[in-house]
Amino acid sequence: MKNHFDNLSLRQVTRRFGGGPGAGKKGSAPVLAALDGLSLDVAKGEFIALLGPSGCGKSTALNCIAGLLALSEGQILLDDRRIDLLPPEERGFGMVFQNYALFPHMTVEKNIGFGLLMRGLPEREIAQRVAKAIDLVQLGAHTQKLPGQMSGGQQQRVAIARAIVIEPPLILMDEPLSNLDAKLRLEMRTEIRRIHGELGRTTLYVTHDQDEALSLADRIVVMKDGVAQQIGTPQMVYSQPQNLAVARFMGYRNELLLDVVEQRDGVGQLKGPGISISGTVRGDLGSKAVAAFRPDDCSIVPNDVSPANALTARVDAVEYYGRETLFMLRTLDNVPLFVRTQGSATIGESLTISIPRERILIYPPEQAK
Amino acid sequence: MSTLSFSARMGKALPAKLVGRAWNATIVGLMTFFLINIGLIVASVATSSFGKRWFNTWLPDGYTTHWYFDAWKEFQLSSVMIVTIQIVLAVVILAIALGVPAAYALARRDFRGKNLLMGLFLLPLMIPPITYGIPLATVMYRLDLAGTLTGVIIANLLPALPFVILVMTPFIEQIDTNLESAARVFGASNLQLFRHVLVPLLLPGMLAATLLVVVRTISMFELTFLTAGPSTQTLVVSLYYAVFAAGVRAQQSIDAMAIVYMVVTVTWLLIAMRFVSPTQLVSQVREQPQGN
Amino acid sequence: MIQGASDRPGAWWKDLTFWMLAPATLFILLVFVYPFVDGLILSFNPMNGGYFANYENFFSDPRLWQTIGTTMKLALPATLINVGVAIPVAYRLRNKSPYQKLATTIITIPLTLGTVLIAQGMLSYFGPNGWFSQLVQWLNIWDGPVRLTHNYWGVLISLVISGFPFVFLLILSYITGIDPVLSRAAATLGANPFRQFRHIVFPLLLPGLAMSFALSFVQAFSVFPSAILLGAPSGPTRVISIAAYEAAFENYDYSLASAIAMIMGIVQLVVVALVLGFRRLSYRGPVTGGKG
Repeated sequence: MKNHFDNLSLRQVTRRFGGGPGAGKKGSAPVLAALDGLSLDVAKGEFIALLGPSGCGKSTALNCIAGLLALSEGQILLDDRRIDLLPPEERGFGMVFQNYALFPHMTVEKNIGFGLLMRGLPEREIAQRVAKAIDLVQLGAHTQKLPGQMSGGQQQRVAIARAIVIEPPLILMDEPLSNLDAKLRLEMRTEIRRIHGELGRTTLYVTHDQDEALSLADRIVVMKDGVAQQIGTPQMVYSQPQNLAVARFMGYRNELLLDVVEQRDGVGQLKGPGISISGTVRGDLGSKAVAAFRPDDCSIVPNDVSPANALTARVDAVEYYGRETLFMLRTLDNVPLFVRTQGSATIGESLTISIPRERILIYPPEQAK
Repeated sequence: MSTLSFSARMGKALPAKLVGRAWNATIVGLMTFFLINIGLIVASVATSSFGKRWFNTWLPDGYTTHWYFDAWKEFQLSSVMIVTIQIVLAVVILAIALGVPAAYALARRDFRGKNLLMGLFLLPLMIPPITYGIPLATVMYRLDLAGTLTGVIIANLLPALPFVILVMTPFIEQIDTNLESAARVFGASNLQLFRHVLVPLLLPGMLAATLLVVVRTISMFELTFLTAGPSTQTLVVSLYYAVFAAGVRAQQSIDAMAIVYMVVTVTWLLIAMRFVSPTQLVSQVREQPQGN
Repeated sequence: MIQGASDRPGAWWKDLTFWMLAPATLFILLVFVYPFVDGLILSFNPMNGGYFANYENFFSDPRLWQTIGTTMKLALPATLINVGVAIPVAYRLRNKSPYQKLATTIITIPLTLGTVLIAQGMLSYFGPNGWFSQLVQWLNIWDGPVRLTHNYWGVLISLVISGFPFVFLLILSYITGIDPVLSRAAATLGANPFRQFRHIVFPLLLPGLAMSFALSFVQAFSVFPSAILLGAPSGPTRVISIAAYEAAFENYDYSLASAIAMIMGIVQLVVVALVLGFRRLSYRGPVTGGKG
């Protein structure tokens, strides 16, 4: 097993469920592709987040790379060497599991040393490297404990130490923080960033939490229905979502289906009852288009001012959050609208909402599936 | 590790795979051998029961069904069947009636001596029937219960009742107590709670327990054997006496009876398997759903 | 939860928990504990001689004390075979699949057939004129008739046929309880399937294995009908239960029979205690890898 590589390459990696290799023989339910043609190149030292809602194929992708699931199609190459046919134990990647998967009958020390033991290293070297890993995750006081005697956060540290102590060329993390409470999650997120910074190990990180992905990753792969929707830096994915699905996942909660008035130089002008807005066009528009924008990019303007990019809506409900207030509104077409800003309003009142032009993205309407 | 040791590992991968395959083949082969022999044992009895005359050849000289009529008459199978049904029915009803409330109390209540009580209920399942059957039969002979239908039912209830308790306790434990609390919040009385909430919730578990008790009681030999008299034999005990006295009756008659017995048990087993997992026949360890 | 009075101060007879547990407990006490105690006392009141005459008699009469060795010689190998084969088979079938369900159901059938039917089938199949013997001769593996009935081998085979499914289902229920993600974690850390089993599954399985061994041994040690029907009950397969049965129902010496039953129970208890004592040495915590 090599400790270093220059390039990990996924080529059209596909995994279908519903029968595995001999699928579809019995005329059973149509075979579902949990992961459909994922292609991705990962450079040494990169931190990649696979982001998407549950069932989007992100964990399937990770398991395929780890060797825990066989591919239905495609290849995985490590520096031009095919590894997708190797069993997991011969790939030598470190993996951190969602439920930690610590061996309940082994002490922390034994858990962390397990991978080194499997590699047949001399006892002394195992002890040294385990001690170093324990230092790294700051678990010095707990070396002789069993996993069952530790808190969730501590268990997760053990799981991380166990994965990195084998000095794997690639670390795979499957929603490692999803079982922790909110405070601990933030803490461990910082911890993971620190460890990645110290060791510089290439990492593939699966999560459904966009904050985690945005704050940790060098690049994000946004997935939906087994298909990678967009691959890019956090900034790109956040501010220039490729399509409506990515936008929705990145917090573009408001979607208005409107008539296209004009489209020129990447700027589109849309119109609807009580609405006249323009924004950046992504994709080819027909006569109809969807304008997407975030609740916190909106602001309330006095009714007597009529700004360029604005719409009129009626207040449905108000939720007070302290620093801000969330207004639930309805447009004249009765489409729900969320606005998060300062100010106040009474239910039933009619408001004028303005959104900066550069914060509105315009997409072609989604094809019904 | 170096690139070198990696390729060394790659070199070892092939034999390791071969060893794995050979191991797999051995296990599958062993099991196939085991199951084929079981199948042949059954087939051998079945063939004999339909054979006219069969001696030292692969197959009998001809085929007939008259051994079944023979067996039915000679072994008085109609009365044996009736006795068997009576015993199984009584045992099932009593085991459920006594066992489910006890299981409910054990699942929901904490009290002193609970572990001791659990141990007491576990013992008749851990100790083989022949060990406690002999003292039990001794007492029953003294009380003139041996040989009566009541005696046989009591003896069979002994393993059946703890079995129901041990199947039902974990089943009740996994029912959310909130459902019961909710019903109470909405004003249900004990009786209403029992009828409208508990019974529907418990039904699947009771069905499983019932089926398993049926299967186990039909094939319970030792206790019935030790406590039954000539008129209170179940099918399996009749079969034992027939086999024991082989040579008195035609071999084919005994085989026919064996097939009748087998059809009865396997039918119930297959019914039971639709609702329960086979491991529940022997243990109450709850299976974990497979993780992903 | 059904409300009992135990939440509030009150008399015990108003406590619903008590009434739910009482019938089952009373039944076990009357039908299980009482005969046992009665048997124990009876065993110290022999038909003739002092208090310990029965036990002195047992350990001085070779036809009696040798039954312990005879039974051991059957029960130990049978248990070792059953556990030894059941581990790899159960490990292979540990993942849920339609294949697993089918295989376990088929393996379960011999368990429900019961020892009597298996004995009858084996007499026909393994008998000197049976298919097995014919096949062996036809294949020229062995000259002359193969004797696998009415001797030690017949009983041992029947103990494997009826005992293996039992052990298999027990071990399967323990193995499926072990979180499969642990094996995967071990795989990503470089453990091949054999080492995944050795380092992860086996240590976690050990307590269940000890339990399975103990239960299976106890079952085998109380072998009864097959030792009569398939063995040589007056010689090589005169097991301890036969001695107890003869004492009670042929010589009507219930006192000696009780003594033998007690000795049988004590031998079983000793082996179980040894195995479970060994179990204390192994890890016995949860078998999952973290928070669900």
